[in-house]
Amino acid sequence: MFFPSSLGVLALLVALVVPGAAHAVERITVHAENQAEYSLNTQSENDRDQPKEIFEDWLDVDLRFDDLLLGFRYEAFQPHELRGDSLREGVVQRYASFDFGRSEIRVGNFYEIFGRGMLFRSYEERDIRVDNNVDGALFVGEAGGFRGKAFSGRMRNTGPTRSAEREDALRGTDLEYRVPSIGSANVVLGGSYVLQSLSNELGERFRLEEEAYAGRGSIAHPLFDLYGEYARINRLDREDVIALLGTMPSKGVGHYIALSMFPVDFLTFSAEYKRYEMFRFTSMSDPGSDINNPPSLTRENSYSLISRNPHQIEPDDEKGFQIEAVATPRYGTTITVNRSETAKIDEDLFHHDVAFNEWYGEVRHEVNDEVTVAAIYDYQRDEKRGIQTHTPVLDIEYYPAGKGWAVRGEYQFQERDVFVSPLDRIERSHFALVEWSVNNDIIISMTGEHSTSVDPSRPAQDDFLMTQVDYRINQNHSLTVAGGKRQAGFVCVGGVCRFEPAFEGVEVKLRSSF
Amino acid sequence: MHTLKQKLSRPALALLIIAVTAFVPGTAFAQPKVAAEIGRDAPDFTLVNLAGEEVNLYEELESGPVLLDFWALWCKPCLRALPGTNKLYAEFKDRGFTVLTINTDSPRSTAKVKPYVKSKGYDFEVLMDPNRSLQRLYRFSQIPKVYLIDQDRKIAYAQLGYSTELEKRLHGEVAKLMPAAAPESEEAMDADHEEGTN
Repeated sequence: MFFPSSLGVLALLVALVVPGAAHAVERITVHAENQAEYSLNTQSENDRDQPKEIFEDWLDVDLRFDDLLLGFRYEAFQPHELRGDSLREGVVQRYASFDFGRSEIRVGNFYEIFGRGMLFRSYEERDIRVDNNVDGALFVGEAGGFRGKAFSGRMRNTGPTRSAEREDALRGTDLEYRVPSIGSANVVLGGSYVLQSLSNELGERFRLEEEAYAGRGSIAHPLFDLYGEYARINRLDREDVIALLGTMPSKGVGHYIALSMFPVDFLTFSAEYKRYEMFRFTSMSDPGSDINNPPSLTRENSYSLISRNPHQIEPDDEKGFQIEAVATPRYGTTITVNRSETAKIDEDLFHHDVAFNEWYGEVRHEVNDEVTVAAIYDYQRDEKRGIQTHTPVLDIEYYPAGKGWAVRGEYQFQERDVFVSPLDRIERSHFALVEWSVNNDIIISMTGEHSTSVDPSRPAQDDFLMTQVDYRINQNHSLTVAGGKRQAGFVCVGGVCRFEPAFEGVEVKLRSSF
Repeated sequence: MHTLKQKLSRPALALLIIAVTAFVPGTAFAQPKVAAEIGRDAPDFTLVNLAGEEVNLYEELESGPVLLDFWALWCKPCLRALPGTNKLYAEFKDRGFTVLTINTDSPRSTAKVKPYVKSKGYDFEVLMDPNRSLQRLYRFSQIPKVYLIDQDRKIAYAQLGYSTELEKRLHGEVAKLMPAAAPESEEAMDADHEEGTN
């Protein structure tokens, strides 16, 4: 047999071959999804930590027998030494779950969230290579207005060291109660508890544990929504542990409140407040791996230059707010205004140490059924990194009626003021994107960027050009090929960021489902 | 200098080769007419809507076909598609058709979803899935994605992406599943006629 040792290859073959046979066996379905990525980066010659070639693959295979689901994931990352993660090649997930209707039991790997992630969030965000799945057992059930979740397992570490060993035993429970309707309002009350124990030799010797708990409530009403959550982390404060690990604060506290209002049909508001103090709840074996993912209260921007200088959430020392108004003064016109501010926590009421603030305004207008025009302006100031940006954007879409083709164009300009001495400089970037959907199966996009800097230590100007072709080969396979050069920058999702190094070369992505 | 073949492990290389050959013309898997998921049972799920109520797929299917439409605030084609989805719902809802749009924004944007939907005046149901549990259940990674599910709980149609042509195609697929509009009763027709002549 060809490559008999590779369970992943066998699995893929099974996934390719079995569906035809599976149709003959009633009520058994096999479903597989594969994503393969390859990149060749010639810029890596300037960075010893970056390999020239990277290949990654994720293969998920599910077998469903009525209410029973069996599945596994095969992952490959080459060269795996880069992230020091020896488990990055092979079957990294396997699971079985049974759905009883009002409840479900899952054994093996799973993802789950409590509330809005203040205390616990296990999730996968492939674009930023976060995957902190838990390996263990999960129960979800509901009865009489109550909905409960309970789990026990070990979370995959995702910190920079990529220590994939699951050394922390994690147990958690979450309970929600839907209060019988009060008028037209739906009220939900809930609470969570998570206990973490370090189960290696050190942990067992000193009984190293951390516990966290949270209470929350929400009201959904036709005129407003209110959500509030208070959470607390109790760390060990025994003298022997402090002597061992050094001084460390024993308590962490997090507050989060969100209020949305819909006073009239054409105007809505949302306002959020956060206060996180020593609230990073991390793996005890890998402090770079987060167990919680509290809301960051900064806008998630989809325009390249605006999202290039993001604020990365700092749950150990952060407070702030975000407000957003959305108005539709006439059909087809939408105006969005957003303001957010994050500051360091300071007990002195008269001292307000702002770390990051942003203003965002957008006017989007549908000229007719086929053409939409949007004008955007964004201002950000990041005191911690010493960066201030002004970014106007123009975005035009044309979708001709009844056609499979469409054209979209973006022009972005950014003035970036780096005000930290001695790095002071002003950079200006012009960024243009043209995206042509040739038909429903082919999309060609080109991005060009021209940057200038007044700093003599950097090149006076630089140009970046990327071309990408997305081709849907058929209903089950899609291929993306990109080539060119792009700037280094952050890729962020939900306040969690990953630095993407400068790139010049070719990228190929293939997505398949069987 | 190491070549790619030397750097990649044999399983990884094999995966790459198999994945590429899977759609080369001439193979058994080339150019399928329909997406792999068509005809499969749609997995059941329960999610919470914007009013804080639980919504179950199989219960919704009791009244007629259901359209699942996955979207997020950061996804421009998704936002472009939503007005068409709302029109589709308005046209067929009286014949038992249900639209469940699934918002997949992370908790970071959860508070902004209802204000956006309210400001647009959309009537369809919006379910919240901040941890993307349904994308794992239905096994796909890109949005906008729609699934049309018939009353036998089978996936009748699936579509990825947005164009006005796809919007039209989706309309046709929904119309195929809908029972013909009930003919008006003779009394109602007479009443209409009288109103028209007065």
